[in-house]
Amino acid sequence: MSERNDDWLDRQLREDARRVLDDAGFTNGVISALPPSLAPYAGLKTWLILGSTALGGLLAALFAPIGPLVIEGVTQLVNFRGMTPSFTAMLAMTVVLAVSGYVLATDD
Amino acid sequence: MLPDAASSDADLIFAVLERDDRRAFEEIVRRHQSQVRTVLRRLTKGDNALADDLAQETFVLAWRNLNRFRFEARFSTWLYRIAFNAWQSDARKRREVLLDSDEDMPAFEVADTQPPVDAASRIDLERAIATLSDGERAAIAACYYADMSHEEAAEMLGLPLGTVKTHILRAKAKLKARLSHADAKATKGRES
Repeated sequence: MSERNDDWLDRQLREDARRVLDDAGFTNGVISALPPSLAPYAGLKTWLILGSTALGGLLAALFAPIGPLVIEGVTQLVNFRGMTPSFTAMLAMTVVLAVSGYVLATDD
Repeated sequence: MLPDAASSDADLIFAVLERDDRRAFEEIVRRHQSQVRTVLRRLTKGDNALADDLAQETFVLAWRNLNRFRFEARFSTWLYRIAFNAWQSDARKRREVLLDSDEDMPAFEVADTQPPVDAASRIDLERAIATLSDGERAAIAACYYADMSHEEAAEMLGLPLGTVKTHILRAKAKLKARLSHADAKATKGRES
């Protein structure tokens, strides 16, 4: 009986690990199981998210309780009234919406 | 440009990420399928069909998450992590169903015909590994089959480093004992 020492066992394990398994159609099976490519829709997704964010922001400005304040802010911006509270609120909301939209659009 | 055997893993990964290049991914799978399937075969106690299902799941998950590979570790190590996670979650699911299964029951029936010597010792090794506990088998698969350091194995398996070292020591002692026993049986069989 041959001696079963650590070196012998290490060698057996490493040889077994190096043994090459025949592919036997495995790779083709994996490739056919991959989800369909989404690359053609990647740009569309970005615009859909940014568009939805802009539309949501507009609807919120028109119908949410804070809406009149935002509209007042836009009016004041148009009239160059400077950093009034309404303008600051509108600016903050716009920045938050834009950043959220960007993060969502670029997140994979 | 078509991917070839000379392209590095990094080249192929970039081709997949930038151009959604399935041929590049095919080359990645072809390159790593043998090692990933071997690791999973040892983890699943020689259940080759289950191992191949888990290997397929591993590569599909790798495809979906390739943009999360950070090139900080070897790509093969990243793949093995996915494979171990797939095996662990599958084992958890099965244990919920097979609560009364006997952990120490050998996974193989003894073959009637005598295989050639090399194949016989490999089969003896497979059978011996199959009798180890889950933790011991995982540690052996990580350190010998996935070629990880003890530290990498500990991190991947979520175990303390000392536990991984203990698993390896115990597993090797058991393997030596079982293989000596198998060897003695084979010698006795040849003599009679």
